[in-house]
Amino acid sequence: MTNPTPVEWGALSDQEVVRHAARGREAAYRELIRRYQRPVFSLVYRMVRDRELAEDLTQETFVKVLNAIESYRPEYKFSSWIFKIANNAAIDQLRRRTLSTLSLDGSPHAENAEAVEATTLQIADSSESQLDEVTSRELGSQIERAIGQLRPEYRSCILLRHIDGRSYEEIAEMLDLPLGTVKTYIHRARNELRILLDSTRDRP
Amino acid sequence: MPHQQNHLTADELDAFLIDKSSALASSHVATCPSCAAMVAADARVVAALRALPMFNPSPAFSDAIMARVRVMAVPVAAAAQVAEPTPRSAAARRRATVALGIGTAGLAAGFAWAMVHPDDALRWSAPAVDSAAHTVWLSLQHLVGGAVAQPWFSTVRDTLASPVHALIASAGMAAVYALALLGLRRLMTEPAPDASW
Repeated sequence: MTNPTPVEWGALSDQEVVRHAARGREAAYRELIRRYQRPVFSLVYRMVRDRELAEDLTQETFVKVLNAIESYRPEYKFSSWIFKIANNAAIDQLRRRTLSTLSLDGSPHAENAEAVEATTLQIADSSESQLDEVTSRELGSQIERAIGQLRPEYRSCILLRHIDGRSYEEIAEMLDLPLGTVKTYIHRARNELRILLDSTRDRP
Repeated sequence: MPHQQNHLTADELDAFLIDKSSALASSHVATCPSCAAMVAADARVVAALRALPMFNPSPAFSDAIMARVRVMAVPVAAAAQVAEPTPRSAAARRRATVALGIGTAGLAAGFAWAMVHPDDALRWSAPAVDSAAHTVWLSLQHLVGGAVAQPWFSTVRDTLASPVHALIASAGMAAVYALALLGLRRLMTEPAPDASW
């Protein structure tokens, strides 16, 4: 049995690397992780605004994608596939977090006073501002704070468009949204960011 | 369309952000302070977004993923074939290319000869064409004769004698065919349940 032919991974397209991965080359899996760990992690981190949680969600994303690599359809961009799964994971997490925060009397599973207090409704806090404090060193700039105040749907659209450089069509495909909705979300997100940044600048 | 009264649409604002604004939109912005301020503000937001850094996950990130990924156990030799064609397959491809070249050259020569000697070509090919047509005709006759002799033929003929019945039967067959195609396509593209598009 001979060793696999050495491959210049950097020269291959995503589709070619995926083809190698689908044939069982571990190095191809690692190449896909190397290519996408930063952009995917950055997107998820900016969505959930919690480093540890973002790392868990990003790991889940990669595990799902790589374990289903045979089902990848080459007519789609690999990047669209992985970003779609990452974004879905982040949005699901944000929805779960909102639900768990919206308890007026604390969680029914709380076993003591501290737990009740911890799960009681925090009206002025959509659960993200607390995390903002934790992560304020990394996500501390005005624009990062402003992103954190956007609705999750606006947030993913604006991040994919202006940080990851995705086209409107790609974003619509990734998020399963009509093209017009994506354009509207991005336009509104930019408006909100502009207003948020202006208000921060005007603040004494 | 922008002009002095109508301000820029969202799409026109977008076009400014990627330097693809129309001449009309540009001329409007040049004379409309409100739209000019909007374009400048959007540009500032986008520049701030583009300047944001990427974040790195922890150093153990890749290994943590690989520990949970099922890499298919494909024989190494088979995996090697993905990267480069083996010498054997390259030789086979060369032989096939030579054979294809010889065949194409022969066809081209025959065609050129027929163009130069059309009468001879027709005289020589006529018996072969007649013979082929005769064979096709006999086969067709045999096929139809066989079908007519079947016990179910009269029932089918009576049913299809009505144009409505014929139409319904055709539509039914087309529907079954389309459903079969859809089912086959779905089977071939079914993704894993937890990583679906």
